[in-house]
Amino acid sequence: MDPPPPRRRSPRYHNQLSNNNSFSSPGKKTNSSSNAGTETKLKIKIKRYHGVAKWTWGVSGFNNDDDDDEDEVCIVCQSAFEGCAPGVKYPGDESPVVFGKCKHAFHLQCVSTWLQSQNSNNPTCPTCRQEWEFGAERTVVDDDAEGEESVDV
Amino acid sequence: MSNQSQLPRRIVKETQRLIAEPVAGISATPYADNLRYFAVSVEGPSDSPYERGVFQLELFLPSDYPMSAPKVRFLTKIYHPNVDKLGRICLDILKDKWSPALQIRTVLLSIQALLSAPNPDDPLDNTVAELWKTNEKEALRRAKEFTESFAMKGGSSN
Repeated sequence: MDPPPPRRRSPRYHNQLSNNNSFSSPGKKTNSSSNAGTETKLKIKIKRYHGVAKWTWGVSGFNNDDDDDEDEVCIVCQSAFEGCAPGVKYPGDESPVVFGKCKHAFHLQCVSTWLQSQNSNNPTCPTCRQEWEFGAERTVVDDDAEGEESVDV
Repeated sequence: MSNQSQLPRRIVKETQRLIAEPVAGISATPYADNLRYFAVSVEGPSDSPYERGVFQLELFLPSDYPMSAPKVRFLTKIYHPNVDKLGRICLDILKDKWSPALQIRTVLLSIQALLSAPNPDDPLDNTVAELWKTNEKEALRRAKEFTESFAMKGGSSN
C-alpha cells in the first residue's frame, strides 16, 4: 500500500488522498470506463481509529426549577457543567460537579469558593439560600455523613 | 487598554447578554477602558414619583465578583429613603444577601423595584425616611420634584 498522504491542512490534501487509491471514488473510476463491471468497490483500509465517548455529569433536568438554558451551566461561573470551573485546566475529574442537600448543583470549585468567602458558620446555597450541606447525589448515595462538618453555633 | 489579567468568562457572558437581550427600562454598558465598570441608566417606574425620570448609575464588578456583590451607586440625585446623598444604595442583596446566583441584570431590576417600593423602615438617609413615615404626601412631592429637576434633563447627566 502506498504510504499515507502527507499531513497537510490544505485543500490539496483531499486531492492527494483520492489519487492515492486508499479510497477509490466510483465517480472517478467510471471515467475510465473500460473495466466498468469488475471493480468500483469502495476499498477502505483502517489504519487507526480513535474511540470517542461522550460523558455528562447528569445534571441537566436535575435542577428542574429553572428553564432549560440555565440547567446546562453552573450558575456561579456561567460555564457548562461539563466544562471547567474558573482556574481549572481540564474538565471531568479536575472540575467535578457537586450537589447540595437542596439538590442544586455547582462545580465543586465554584461552590467551595463561595462557601469560604461567606465567612460564616452556616454558609448557604447560592441558588436557594438554604444552609448548604453536601449531599444528594443523583443515584449514588454513599457519603451522606461526609458532608456534615458539624459546627457549633 | 488596561488589560487586567483576563476578564472572567462569566463577566464576558453577562455583558454579552446585557447587550443582546437588554432589560426593559434598563441599560448597562461597560466602559471600553475598564470592562468591569459599567455606565447604567434606569428609567423610573411608572407607578412611582420617579416616573419619566432617567437615573444614571455606576456599577463596578470587584475583583472577587461574583463572590462579592457589584458596587452600585446613583450618580443622578434622587430623593429616596434608601439612597443617601452620595448615591449609595441600601439594598440587602448588595450586602449580606448577595449570592453568586445573582447577576448584574437582577441587581439592576432590584434597584428599579426599590424605586417602586421605598422602604423607610430600613433607611440610609434618616431625614428622608423620617419625612416618608410622617408625611408621605410631602415626601412623594419632593421625590417628584427631584426627579423633574435632576432626572429629566433630556441629556445625560454624566
